[in-house]
Amino acid sequence: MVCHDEVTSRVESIGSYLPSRIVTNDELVAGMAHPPGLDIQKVTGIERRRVYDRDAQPPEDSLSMALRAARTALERSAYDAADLDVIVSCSITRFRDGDTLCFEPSFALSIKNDLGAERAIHFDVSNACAGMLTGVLVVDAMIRSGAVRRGLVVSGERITPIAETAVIEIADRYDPQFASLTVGDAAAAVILDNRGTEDDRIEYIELMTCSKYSDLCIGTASEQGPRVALYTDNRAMHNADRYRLWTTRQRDFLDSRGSSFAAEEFDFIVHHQFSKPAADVINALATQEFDAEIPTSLDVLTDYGNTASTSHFVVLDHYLRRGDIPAGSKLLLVPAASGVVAGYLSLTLGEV
Amino acid sequence: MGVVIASTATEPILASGIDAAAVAVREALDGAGLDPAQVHALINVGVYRDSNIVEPAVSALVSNKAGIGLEYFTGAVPTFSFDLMNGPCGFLNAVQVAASLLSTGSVANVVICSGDVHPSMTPQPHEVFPIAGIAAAVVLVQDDTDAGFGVLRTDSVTGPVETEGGVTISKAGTTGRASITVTRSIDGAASVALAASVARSAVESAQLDPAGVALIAGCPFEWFGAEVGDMLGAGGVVVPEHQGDPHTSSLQLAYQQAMKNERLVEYRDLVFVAGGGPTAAAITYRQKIGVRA
Repeated sequence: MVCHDEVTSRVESIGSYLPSRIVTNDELVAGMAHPPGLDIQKVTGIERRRVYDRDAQPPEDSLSMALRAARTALERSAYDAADLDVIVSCSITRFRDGDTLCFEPSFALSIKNDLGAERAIHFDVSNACAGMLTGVLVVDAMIRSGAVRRGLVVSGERITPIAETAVIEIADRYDPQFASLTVGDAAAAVILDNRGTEDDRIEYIELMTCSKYSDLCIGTASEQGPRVALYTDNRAMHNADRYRLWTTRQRDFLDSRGSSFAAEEFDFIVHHQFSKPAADVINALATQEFDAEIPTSLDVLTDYGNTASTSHFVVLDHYLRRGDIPAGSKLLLVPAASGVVAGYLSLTLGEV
Repeated sequence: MGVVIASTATEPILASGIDAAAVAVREALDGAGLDPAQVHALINVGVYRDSNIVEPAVSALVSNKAGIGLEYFTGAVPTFSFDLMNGPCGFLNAVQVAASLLSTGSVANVVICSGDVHPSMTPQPHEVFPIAGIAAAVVLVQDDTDAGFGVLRTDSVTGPVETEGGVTISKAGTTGRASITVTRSIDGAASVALAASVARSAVESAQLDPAGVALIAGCPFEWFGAEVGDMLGAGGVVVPEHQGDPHTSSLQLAYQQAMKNERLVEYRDLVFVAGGGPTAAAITYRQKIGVRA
């Protein structure tokens, strides 16, 4: 499901926003009536996460965080908001006005109006933690088809309320809300345009949903109180068979192009930021499945946790600001999302 | 090469919107002669959903029920699915996205499903829910004639916009999964003007005479379609024949009904128009000669 046309897109700018408040694992689980049966740091590598400012006026929420990331991306961009042809917002946790879960109108409309992107087509996409990758796939296709020239893909996730719920509601040592303790709040934004070159372009992106596993991770309101919650069957979601969905599909894709993982010569790989030990397992599996070395694996989850749909781009922005991703680097971004969504994004980054 | 509607199906939502959407999807696939295992992309544009589920995408749950993209193994067709949400305009945004996916060769078919349900999934929810529960599914494919969709035109109000459909979690008690508040704050006349403006833009971009075009409009309120058609000078107006507002399924239902009743036979060109809120969207559609619903 990918195509290489004459017009290629590229990542022209990236921005992110992380709330300033830090909450450690110990601080999070202090006061739990039933402490989790698993040590968060041992199981996931996560030690702390950023949490929205609950005292801010107006309240910090997914929309306000998304706007901050979008403005940062625009500040770093050669474009102004008025130049954007499309805005796609990708939040799972569509919180605005504090804790109103908004289904209509789209976040993208509010973002468009706030930024002054008068010409932009706008809509939201939702695809769990693969949300921003979905937005990138869509805008990349719109650029390559000539429908648009440049667009903004943005997501804000005020998702730590599910951790607050887990702290209150976890009743068993191995509770389906354990994974909720790993999330952190963040926002990210990327601007794509139609000026891709050999050294600066989205090479290909593909996502697929294996819907047999669609009930393994459900996010909705709690039935125990005025809260939102996420219920995850971790064992069923995170195992070798699920991980092989990525490797099998990408291997088939590369075979069809007469290529191989080794021939792609990736400099870095970025997994969804849900667990460092799991990423190590996935990389070991991938080494076998692709019969190739896996490149340097970038992560930020120790300090930021699982930032949901924003995770890959929070990682990119973090390492780019440190100067650790030289221009011309080729990266592979790999989702792992409820649905279950698997896939890959290959891109070569220019001066971002 | 254009993107055309291969088939359309609708299904009343009696309880679960996901179940109804899956039924509509299967019927649309049958109508297009497409096996569920051959679906390349599925986009859900429904806004209000069972139990206010925000994860996974509703499209994944619909896919599961419809038997689409259940598993991947070498040789299987991978299915790209996600939710696209933009109020009543979502279907037309999804058409544009589908056209991009189809024209770049990323996919060979796209299914767009829709439908809105009170999250409690009860026929008489405890709060006013101004939306009629109809699920719909449309199969889009590329066509090698000059039939197909034109260029999407959109417009929206400027300035801050308020939440029109949502649930304030802190006030929902233990009923967060079963509560939703839907309000319509926009001025009717203003939304008609916005919709007529984008409809005109769409028709002009296709170099069509409005008098020769049939307007397919949603039904955010009773007189929306008639007023937009009047302002545009459309040759005919088609709205869904259904009590209430089918919201994200409006255009699909109106089109399906009109095709079945042969109300569009004298029109080569249609213009689909969605609106009634802070955003309006319009796109022309040149009918494939000889197509019946």
